[in-house]
Amino acid sequence: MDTFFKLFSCSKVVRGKKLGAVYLLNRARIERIPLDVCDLIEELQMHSIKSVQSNYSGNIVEQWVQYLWRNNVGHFTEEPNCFCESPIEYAVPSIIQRAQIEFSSKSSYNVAAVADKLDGLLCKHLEVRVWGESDYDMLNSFFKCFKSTCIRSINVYIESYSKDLIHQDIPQIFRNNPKISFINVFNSKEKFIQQDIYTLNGTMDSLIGEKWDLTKTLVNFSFFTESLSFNTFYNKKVAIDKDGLIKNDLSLQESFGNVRELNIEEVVLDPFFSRYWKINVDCIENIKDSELRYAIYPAREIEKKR
Amino acid sequence: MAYRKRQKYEDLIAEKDLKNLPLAFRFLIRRETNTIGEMYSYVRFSTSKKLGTCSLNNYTDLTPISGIFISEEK
Repeated sequence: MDTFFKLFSCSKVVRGKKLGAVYLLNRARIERIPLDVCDLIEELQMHSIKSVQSNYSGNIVEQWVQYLWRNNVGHFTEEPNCFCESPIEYAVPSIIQRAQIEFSSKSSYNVAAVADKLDGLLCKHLEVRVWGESDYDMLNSFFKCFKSTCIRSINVYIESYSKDLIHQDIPQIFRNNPKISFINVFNSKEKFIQQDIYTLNGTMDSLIGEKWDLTKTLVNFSFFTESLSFNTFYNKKVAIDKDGLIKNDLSLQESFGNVRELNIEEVVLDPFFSRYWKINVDCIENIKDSELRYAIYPAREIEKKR
Repeated sequence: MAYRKRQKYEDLIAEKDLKNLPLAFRFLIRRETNTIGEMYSYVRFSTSKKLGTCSLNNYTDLTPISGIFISEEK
């Protein structure tokens, strides 16, 4: 029987303009390859190694097959039809998957009402930014609103906390709210408190204001499948700033109304709010030609090309 | 549980009964879908401290929520 070289189902080939890449989604790695090798891999998925070799001179096919095999990109088999590709559709039941909430002692919107609305939208992950000086009671009552929601994780950024109480209060808040993944406290000279609670010297403004490094890659199945069809920065996300303004992201200027006056559900279901959700990396200049594009988190405001 | 009779799937279990359930419950909301994927639409968690532990119900998203990236050096 003829031998075939099949990619593992978690190995996905992506073509860029100048280079190709194999994403090893189960090992968070990318192997860059020439575009010709992308063609070769494609042929190998349909024809036996021997058959493909007859189309090339020398032992180039053998060399590349050995290279791909050594790097666990694929495997040999005499029954290629037994191995099917993994589905690449991205589908989650949440209408809003991720949310950002900005809050301060001066915020006048109803957090419990927002939590309730996000629960109705099946929001799963939350980022909370607390501005100004905060205290135990304020934080505790804030997080209490999310206790019985379907939120799975909360990332917390706190601008400032009393240095006399930080060692006592912050770990207590972390213990009281198991959904909190980590807490970052800024403007703090304290050293290590405990795992998943970080203190930073700098101001929240300066550290949060730094733009996401677009050369940083994220290689995993979930991100890859979402990237194929959606803009991972905008998709299924809503943000509420400290004044109650509803946005696509806290870094963006554009807002869609205020939570005090509008129903968040109606806002997010409006097609104008979600108009950028499907503008994936294939449509974005500077990224669309890169073989790494499905591993790039495009954390930038979208501007329509004129 | 307060309700003995079989309920319609739209009915919620009373908040006070949640803590008597094992970790979580799911009820189905039927949705049209083109692909086979998650069939449940809603999960509620008990407010019980004992059941609300990190290891049992908490996971982080693999897509970042925002463009914040604080390096380890910082």
